[in-house]
Amino acid sequence: MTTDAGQTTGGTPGSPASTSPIADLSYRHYEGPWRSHTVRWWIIALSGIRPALRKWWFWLLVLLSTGPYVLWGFLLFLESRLGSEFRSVAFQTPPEQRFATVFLRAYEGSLFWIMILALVLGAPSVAADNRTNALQVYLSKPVTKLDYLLGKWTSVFVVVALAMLIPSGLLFAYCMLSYWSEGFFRHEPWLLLKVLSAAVVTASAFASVFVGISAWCRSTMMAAAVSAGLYLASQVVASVLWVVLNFRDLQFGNVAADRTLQHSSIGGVISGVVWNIYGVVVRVPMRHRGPLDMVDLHAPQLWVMLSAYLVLLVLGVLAAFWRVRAVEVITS
Amino acid sequence: MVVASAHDLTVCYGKRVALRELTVEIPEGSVGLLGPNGAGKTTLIKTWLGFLRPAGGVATVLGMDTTRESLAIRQRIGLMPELDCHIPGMNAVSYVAYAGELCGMPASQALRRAHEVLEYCGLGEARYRPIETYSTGMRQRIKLAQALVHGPRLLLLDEPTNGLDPEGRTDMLHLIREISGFKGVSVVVSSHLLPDVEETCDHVIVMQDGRVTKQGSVASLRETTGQQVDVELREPVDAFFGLLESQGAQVIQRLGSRCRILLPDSTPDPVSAVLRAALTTGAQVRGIRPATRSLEDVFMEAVS
Repeated sequence: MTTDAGQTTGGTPGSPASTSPIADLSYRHYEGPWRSHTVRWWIIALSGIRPALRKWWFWLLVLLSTGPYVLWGFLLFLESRLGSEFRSVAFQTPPEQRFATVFLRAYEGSLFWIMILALVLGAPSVAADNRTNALQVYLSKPVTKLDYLLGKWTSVFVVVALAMLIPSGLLFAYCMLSYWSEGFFRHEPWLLLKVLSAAVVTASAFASVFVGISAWCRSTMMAAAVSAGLYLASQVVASVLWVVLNFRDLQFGNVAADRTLQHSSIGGVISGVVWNIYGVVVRVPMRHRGPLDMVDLHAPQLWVMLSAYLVLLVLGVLAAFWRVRAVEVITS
Repeated sequence: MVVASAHDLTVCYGKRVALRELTVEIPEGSVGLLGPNGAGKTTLIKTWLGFLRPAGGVATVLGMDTTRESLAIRQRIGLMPELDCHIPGMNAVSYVAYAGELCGMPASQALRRAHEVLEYCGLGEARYRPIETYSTGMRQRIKLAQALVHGPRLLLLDEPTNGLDPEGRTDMLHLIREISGFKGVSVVVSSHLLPDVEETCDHVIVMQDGRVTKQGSVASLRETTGQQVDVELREPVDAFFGLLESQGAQVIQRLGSRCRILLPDSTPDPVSAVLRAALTTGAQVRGIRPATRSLEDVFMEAVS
């Protein structure tokens, strides 16, 4: 068929193409440029990152996770205004640990919202594809299983890390500008690196665990329920175990007992590693049958936390890698 | 030219053998892969895509080995899967453009092609609608569009008319026929629906229990052996059949006033011989033509 303009139109009579108002419908082979295979995982990652950044709930969760940073920033501001008397109450830490403590406490306050964000992003990452059989689409293209999983993992990692870095970056900028003359960088030369590491550790652990669980589920709701359940259950079990095993110490008001066991949950491991990264001793007020005492809380054992973190990381990735496949083999 | 082949190919799912020492060559054009459920059609397609590693033998697509060059193969072929599948949360344009990007097209080119291909597949008006809102027919078309976006040399269509109403089925078959006939794309149609294959394919491969039981061009497979003619009479006349049988002919099928007659190889003109017998016996002939077998006959013979 030829149009007035001399263009060849596709479509045999009666086919949908022949009834379309667009003149040139002929199918042509693609002869344009091709991109290298090495960027395929990034294309998959971008397809997860871009829509997430356009969602209102992403910014709401960023806002909520910013709350603790704003609070601790405000306390710093009050301290600078009210002087040493306020410091003795709010910041019972040596001067060289002051900012690191502020960041750690703010981080702990925002961890719940970060977990929610990671859950919202991670739970549907592979489960939604399982539900709609999208894996067949992905894997019928020149995309490997590794490209696919790396892309999915990266999309969760980048968005979660970004959500953590926005408030901590703002607090860091405030501290740097406000305390430059007081030797901010002299006291905390590695603080920026610590803030970045905290974001990397948290985002990577959440991405691995939630993507790993998501790969085993065929619906987003199921993946979210299992992920949240596992997260909370591990938290409860770890806390109960810690209380039971340290009952005698706690009875005598010794809350400074080794907290490694208390950190043996998903969230606990993540916060335990981050506590070690900031390397601070947290002082908390404690009253036990007498006047208010300040108690030093030390970070859980580094090697235990680091090992557990690596196990979470590897287990999550391996679980996803094991489950994701182009061909479902049903064995009776 | 052979676009895909398998030589002594054996593929197993655990202990179950899905393909047994299968040897087949797919020529250019449109080829139908026929077989009952569980014959191994989808397994063969998945092996060509590199999803399954053969337990023995070799499979090649466009001259490339499926085990060593599966990524290069997948860049040059398109798959329309049997199952309903799409990437959640996308509209048609972004989905097809994304499929193009996954194949290695730059984003701008992929978007341009997505618009073209969607228009070609008859989804131009609905391209900005979320795929979740599509009807079954539209979902089949979008599966075809995502398989076509990167301009594949070979298109693998697994049950392309699954779940379509008669009109949708006709449209889809037109589209397939056009792609394979006029656009220079080789097409392999895997189906258990014989009319679909008959309408779209020039070449047929019949599979059963992981083996090829019959293959060849549709025309050659439908040819009958010997000199057979289909005759339609106004009413059956026994004397007519008796005379033909006395001349060495054989009535091999008789259904009411219709019959299929096998004439001896020595008969110089079978049609004239039948008409002479009718004239002699007073039988009124309403129609006569050289007999051909239906694809269903071929299929039943191959799988029986």
